Amino acid sequence: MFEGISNGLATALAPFNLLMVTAGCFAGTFIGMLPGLGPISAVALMIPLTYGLDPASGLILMAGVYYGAVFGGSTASILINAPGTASTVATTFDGYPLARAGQAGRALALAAYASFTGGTLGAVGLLVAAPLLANLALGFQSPEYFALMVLGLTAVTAFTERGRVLPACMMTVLGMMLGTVGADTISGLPRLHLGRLDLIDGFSFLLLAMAMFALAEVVASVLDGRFRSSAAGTDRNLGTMRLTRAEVREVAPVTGRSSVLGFLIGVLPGVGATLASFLVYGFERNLARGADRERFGRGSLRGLAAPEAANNAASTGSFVPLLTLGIPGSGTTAILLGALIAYGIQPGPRLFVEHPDVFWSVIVSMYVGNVVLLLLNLPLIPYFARLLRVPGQLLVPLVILFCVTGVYLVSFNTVDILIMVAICVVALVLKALGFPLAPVLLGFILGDYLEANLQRSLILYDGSFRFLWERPACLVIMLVTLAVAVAAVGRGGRRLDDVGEPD
Amino acid sequence: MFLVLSVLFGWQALGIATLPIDAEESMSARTLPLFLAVAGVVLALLQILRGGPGTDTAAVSARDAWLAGALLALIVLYALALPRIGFGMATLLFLLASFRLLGERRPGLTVGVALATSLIFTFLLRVALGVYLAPGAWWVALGLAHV
Repeated sequence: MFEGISNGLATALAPFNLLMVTAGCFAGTFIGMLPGLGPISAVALMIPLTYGLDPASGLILMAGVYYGAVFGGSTASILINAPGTASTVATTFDGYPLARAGQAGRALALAAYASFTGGTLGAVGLLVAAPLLANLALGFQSPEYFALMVLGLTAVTAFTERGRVLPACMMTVLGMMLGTVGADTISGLPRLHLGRLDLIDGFSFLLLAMAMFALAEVVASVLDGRFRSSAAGTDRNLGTMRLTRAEVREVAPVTGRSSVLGFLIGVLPGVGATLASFLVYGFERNLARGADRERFGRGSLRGLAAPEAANNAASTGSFVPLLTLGIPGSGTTAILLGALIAYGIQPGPRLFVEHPDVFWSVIVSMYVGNVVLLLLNLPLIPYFARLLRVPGQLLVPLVILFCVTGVYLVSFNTVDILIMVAICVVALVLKALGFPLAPVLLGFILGDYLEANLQRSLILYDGSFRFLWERPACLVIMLVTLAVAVAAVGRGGRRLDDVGEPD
Repeated sequence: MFLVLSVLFGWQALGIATLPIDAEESMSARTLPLFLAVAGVVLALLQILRGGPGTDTAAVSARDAWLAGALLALIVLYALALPRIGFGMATLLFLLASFRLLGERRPGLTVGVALATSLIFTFLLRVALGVYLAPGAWWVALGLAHV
């Protein structure tokens, strides 16, 4: 393990990878600040750029973009009450009132310190939990992988979007249907290509991710008029960015608690940073007494620190199931999983044995990323805030251009742009009808692996499903799956908080 | 819609070719697609029985809907223009049109940002990344550019 960490440290601290993590944090912060664009869109936008990089550098860049975008989302939430992502909605509850009271600088600084604490404690948790879980799962074979894929799909479906279990299930099935188009994983025979040569290789992951999460989000911001919201009307002076000693003493235990809780929630597949931020906000409000409690929603420092620490810790926590079991816990980690697969790397317990450089360097780069966010991004916040003043009518076409050329330059086929527009329209309609989109991508990615592992398991067990109860690990995973499914059906009719899609 | 999609998917799945050896196997290339079609039909029926999931639309104005539609149409036009007038020119025209469409009325800013972006993009791709960008079939036909 120590050899792995030192290798990871060497890879993560290589000058090029330091540049990648810094560039990723900057790009993520910038994209995350744009109203309507969150981590999932930010990471999707980066996919074409990572194609020319080696796996470790590519993943380090994308991970940097991920937590940069979570950080950037808080800036827009605090300054203009426009959360770039669902996971920073809870930040607006107390962050925006603080900014309106002329304390934007303090709110931004506190958000940065809380994010740093959450991210760093999360990275420590990841460092400890990931190898433990991966070691435990090293003996897994096809039956266990099949069970894990079923668990991943069930968990994500169950926890996604306001208890809407049925629409999420439908979207998972839709994603799996799209994933079956193209060559069959075992026989290699082409299927469901409707006689079109373009579809013999199936749908491109890049095309699907960019169309559904980058292009659709930008067009959605035009549809609902969000692109017009900018910081043009906000106060140019952010005020002091210093916190007093008493304030630090007040928020320190809150950030500690929220980071640990956020990490634990983030580890659960399908829960994500959004639910973590809402849960810890509610938890802290319940813990507060008297005047402290009254301040929640009116500019409470505790109310700002809690969700900020939690969403960063949860973002880091969501890497645990991704790196150790190959299960993406959210839409963003699903994109990272797709990127790993595109590199020819099979995510799962064997990742840290077969690709220790990737496994450890990503973990180590999280520390580096958090330091970059605190030391470089915090002093630059006033300048980043100016970017929010760039009019939406200029930003939207530029982001669209980035999406379209990102897809076009991979294949040089203009048909891909037309397919992208078609997928974007379908995604917008589904979104408008209240269907969550993240399960489509998860179904698309996991479906392929589910089929291949089921097929291999059935061959191993002469066509019988008895591996489900004869193999202890498989049985345990299936029982957990069953419990998650039962819990999901139990709360199917009831709505959780309005937490949006896990990102 | 999902019900229709699932039925059509199932119908297509029935036509998937399998290998002769698959007849003895419990799972073939057809199995998962058929299972998904059945699952899709069941879920769609359940959804119909329970009513729609509710909408997420927060009162979209007709103007914004028109803007979004026109923006998508511009992307389609951009795709059609790329092989004909080349990357640089298509990008410049796309940006000019979309800035204008979304309400940017300052001519200096519109032309400046569009021109700078298309020049920087083209330069980065051609010189920095060494990507070959076709000059555009129309320019080649007119003898103004060479492949």
